[in-house]
Amino acid sequence: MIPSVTDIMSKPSDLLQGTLDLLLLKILALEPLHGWAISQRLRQISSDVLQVSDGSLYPALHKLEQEGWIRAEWKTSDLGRRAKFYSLTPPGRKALGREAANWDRLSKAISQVVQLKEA
Amino acid sequence: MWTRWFYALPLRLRSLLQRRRMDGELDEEISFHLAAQAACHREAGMSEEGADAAARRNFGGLTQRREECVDTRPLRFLEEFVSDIHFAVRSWRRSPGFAFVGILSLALPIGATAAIISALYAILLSPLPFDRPEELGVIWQMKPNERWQRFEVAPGNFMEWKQRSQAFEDMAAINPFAGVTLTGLGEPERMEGARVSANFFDLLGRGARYGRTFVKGEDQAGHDRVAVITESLWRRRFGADIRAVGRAVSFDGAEHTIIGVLPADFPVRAATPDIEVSTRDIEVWRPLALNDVQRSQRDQGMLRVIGRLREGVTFAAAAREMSFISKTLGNLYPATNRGWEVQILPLAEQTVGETSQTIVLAAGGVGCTLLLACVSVAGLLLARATARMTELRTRVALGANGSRVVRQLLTESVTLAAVGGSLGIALAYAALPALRDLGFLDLPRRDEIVMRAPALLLSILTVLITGLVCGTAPVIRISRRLVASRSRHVTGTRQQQALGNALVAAQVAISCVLLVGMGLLLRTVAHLQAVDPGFDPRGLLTLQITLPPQYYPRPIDRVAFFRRVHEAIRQLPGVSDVGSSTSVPFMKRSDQAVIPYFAGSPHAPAGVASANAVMPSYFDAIGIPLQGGRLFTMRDDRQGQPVIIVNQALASAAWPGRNPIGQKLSVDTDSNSNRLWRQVVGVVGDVRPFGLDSPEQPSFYLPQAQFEVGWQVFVVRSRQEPAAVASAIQRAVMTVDGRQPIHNVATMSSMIDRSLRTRKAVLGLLSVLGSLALMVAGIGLYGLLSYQVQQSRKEIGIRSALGASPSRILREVVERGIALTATGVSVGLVAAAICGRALASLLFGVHAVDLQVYVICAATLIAVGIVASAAPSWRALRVSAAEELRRD
Repeated sequence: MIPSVTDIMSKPSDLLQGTLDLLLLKILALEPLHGWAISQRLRQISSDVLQVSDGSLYPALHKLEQEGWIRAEWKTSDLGRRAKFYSLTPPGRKALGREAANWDRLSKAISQVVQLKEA
Repeated sequence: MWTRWFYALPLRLRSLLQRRRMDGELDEEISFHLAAQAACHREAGMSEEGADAAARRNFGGLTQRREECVDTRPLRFLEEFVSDIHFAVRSWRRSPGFAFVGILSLALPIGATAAIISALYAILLSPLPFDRPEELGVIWQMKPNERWQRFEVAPGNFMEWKQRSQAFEDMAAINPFAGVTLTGLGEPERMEGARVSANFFDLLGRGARYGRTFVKGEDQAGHDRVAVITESLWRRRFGADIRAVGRAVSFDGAEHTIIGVLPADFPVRAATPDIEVSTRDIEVWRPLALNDVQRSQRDQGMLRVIGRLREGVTFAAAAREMSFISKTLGNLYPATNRGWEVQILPLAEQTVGETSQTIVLAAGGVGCTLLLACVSVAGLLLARATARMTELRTRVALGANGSRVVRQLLTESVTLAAVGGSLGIALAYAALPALRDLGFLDLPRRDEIVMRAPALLLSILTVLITGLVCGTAPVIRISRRLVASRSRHVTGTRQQQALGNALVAAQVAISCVLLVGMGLLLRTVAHLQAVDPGFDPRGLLTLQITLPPQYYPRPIDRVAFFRRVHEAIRQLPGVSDVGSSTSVPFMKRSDQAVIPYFAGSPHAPAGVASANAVMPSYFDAIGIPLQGGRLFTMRDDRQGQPVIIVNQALASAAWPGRNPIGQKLSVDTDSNSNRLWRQVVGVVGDVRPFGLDSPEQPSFYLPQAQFEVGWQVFVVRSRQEPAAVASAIQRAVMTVDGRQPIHNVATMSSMIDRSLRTRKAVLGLLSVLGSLALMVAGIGLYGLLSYQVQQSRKEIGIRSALGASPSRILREVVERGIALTATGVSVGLVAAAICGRALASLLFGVHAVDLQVYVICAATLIAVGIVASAAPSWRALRVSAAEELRRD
C-alpha cells in the first residue's frame, strides 16, 4: 500500500492506487459516505490539490470492499434517491492505523532528504 | 488481520452468485454519482444538458471505469470463461460447417478407439473378475506320448489331487456339458448348463446376487437337486421376480429347487475354460454329484479343474508338486494312472489363448486412428484461427485486451474439445455392444467387455491434449503477430497455408495405410475361404470318446463298442451321417499324429504322413471324395488282409506317376516287430489338416478294426443345432455304455473359423478404422478447401469479373484437391509398404505389396478427394464478383 519514492516524485497531482486507498480509508473513518460525497470531501480537505478523477474512485472503493476493509449499505440520501454508503469495518480501522503510521514515517524520512542543504 | 474475511467472504459469494444484481447496483451507484454531479453543476448555473455533459466528463471513461469495477470481483476469470463459451457457441451457429466437421473429427476417433481399447483391455489386460485371479489355474491331465495335449480330468483323480495337494489350497471341478431341459414353466426350453463341485463359486470368490450358491455337501447324490441360475435366465423365464429363489422347477424331468441367482456381471466365459461348442452361455449351474463309483473312477476324463494356489506358492512349484502327485498316483493305480502327467495353466492365459499378434495389430490400428484424430483437430483449429484473424485484429484495435482475445480462442478450442469429447463418449458406449456382438469374432471374455473409464480417458486425453497442443501452438503464434503487427494481409502467411496442406495430406496418408491393410487382409480372408478344405464342413459336429483300457481290454471289444455307438448316433433324429477317425482336420496340430511310412525299402522311411485310424463310414460322413479303388468295409478286420487307404499327396510322393492301388505300404509292425506291409486299396482326396493356409498333408488311413485304438473323434452331420445334437449324442452314448462321457465337442465350422479368427479380427478392426479414417480425411479435405476458397473470395471475385471462365475456377479448386490427395496417397503407399511387414505373417496368397490392393486404395482416396473438392469448388463458382469487390 505504500507507494515508492519515485512514484510520489513523478506525479504530484495524480494519485496512485496505494495512496488513494489510504485516503479513502481515512475519510470513511470520520463518517460513512457515498461515493460522490467522498470525492467532494477529498477536494474539500485537500483544498483542490488532490483531484482524483471521479472514475478512478469507484474501482478503488470496490476493491477495498472486496478486501473487507470497508462495507456498504444502501440508504436514502439527502438527494432523495437511495445511494450506496460506505463505512469502515473494524479490521479496516486497524489497517488504517497501521498504514497511516507507515506513511508518517516515510514522509518524515523523505522530508529530511529533501530539506538537505545543497552543498 | 483475518477478521476482514468476515466481511469479504459474503460479498465475494454474492459477486459470484448474484452477478446481475451486483451489476444493477453498480449502475445505480454510478448514475447516482452523475446525477449528484449534474445537480451540482446546475446549481452553479449550467444548463441541464451542460450539467449532464460536464458530469460525464468529470467522471472519466465511463465504460472503462465500470469495467474496472467489475474486474475487482473475484473469479472474474470464471465469468469470462463462461461468456467465452457462449460466444464460441454463437459463432458456431454462424459457421455450422466448422462446428460439424470439428465435432465429428473429434467424436468419431475418440469413440472408436475408446471402444477398441476397452475391448482389448477386457480381453487381454484386465484381471479376471475373480477373487485374487492371479492365484487361479486350470489343471489338465496330459499323456505326452499319445500326442494328445490335454485331457479333461477323471473324477477320481480330481478327488486325489484335491486331497493330496498342498500347493493348491483348494480345487473345484466343472463339467460344462450338462445342458438341461426346463419344463413345467410354460414352454419347455433347452439351455446350456454345468455341473460344478460345491466349492466352485466360493473358490472363484463370486457369490449369488440373490439367494446363495452351493454349500458343502450339496454335491452328494441325494442332496443335489438344487440349482443356481444366471441373471439372464432369471429375467427371461422368471420375470426377474425375487420369489424365484426357493422355487421348484423341473430340469430334465427331475424337480430342482432354485437356490440362487448369479449377478449380471458374472463372467461365465472366464469361469468355463476352453469351451467351443456354443455361443450361448451356460445358464443353469447344478452341483456335481458323483456316486461312489464315479468318485473312484480314474481314467475317463470329464471334468475341468480350477485350482487356487496357496498364498506364496508359485505356479512352477505347484507344477512340480502336481507332477509328483501324478507319479504317486501312477504307482498306486498303475492300471489307470501310469504315464499320465499334469499340466497347469494360469486361468488368465487359458482364457486369452494365442492372441498376442492381434494385440500388436490392434494397437497399431488404434495408434493410427489416434494420430489421425490429433492431426484433424490441429488442422481444424489452425484453419479456424487463421480465418478469424480479421475479427481478432478489429477487436484488439477497439481496445480488447490482447491476452483476453487469445484466451477466447483457447476457450473455443476447449469447448470444441468438450463437445466433441462428449459425443465421442456417447459413440463409444454405442459402439461397444456392436463390437461385442460381432459374432464371427468370438472374442474371449466377450461378456466382460464394457466401457472402461481408463480407456475412455486415455483416448479422450490423447486426442484432446495432442490436438489442442498442435492446434493452439500456431494459434498463439498468430495472435502474437496479430497484436503486434499492422499488416493487412488476411489470408495467412504461406507458412500457415503449408501447414494446413501438410495436415490434410497427413490425414490422407494415414487413411491410405489403414485402407491398404484392410484391403490386403480382405483379399487374404477371401482367398482362405475359397480354399477347398478337402471335405464338406457344413453341419458337421465333432466330438471325442476315449475308452479306458481296462473297460474293453480286448481290442475286438473296442471295435464293437464304437460300432454300437455309431449305430446309436445314426438312429438319432436329425442325424444324416456318422463317421469317426483318430483325428480330424483342424484339430489342434499337436493332437494329430504324424509318423514315418515305408514304401519300398523296409530299412529307411520314405517320408512322414498324418496317421488316422478310421471306421469305414468316415470318408462319406466327412465328405472326403474317393478317387480310386475302394473304401473300407466291415470285412477289413483282423481276419482280413492288412489294408490301407492313402491320399493323393502321399500317393504322388511315394509312387510318383504310378497307380497307388495295389502298392505296399508299411506304417506299423506286426507281433514279431517286423514291418507289416499293407496293401493300398483306395486313394482319397487331400485335406488340409492343419489349417486352410497350410499345404496338403500326405495322409494314410487304417481301418479301426485292424488298428484298434481306444479313442475316436466322431464327425456327425446334422442340420439341427449343435448343442442339442451334442446332448442327444451324450445320452445315446450313455445307453451304449453308461460310464462313457463325450468330450472335446466342437462344430467343424467353429474349428475352421477359429483358424481364421486372428485374421478376421484384425480385418474387422482395420475395416472400421479404415472407413473412419477415410471419412475424416474426406471431411478434412473438404474443410481445408472450403476455407481456402473462402479466404480467396476476393481474388476469385476479381478474376471472374475480369472474365475468367467458371469452369476454369472450378477446375483449379478440384485440381488443388487432387494434388493434395495425391501427395497424401503417395506418402501413404510408401508408409503402407513399410508397415506391410507387420501384416506379412497373416497374409495368404497376397504379397505385402499387392498391386491390385494398392491401386484400388489409391483410386478410392482420389475419388474421395474429388468428391470432397466438389462442394468448395461449387461455392467458388457462386462467388459474386461485385459483392467481393465491395467487401473489404
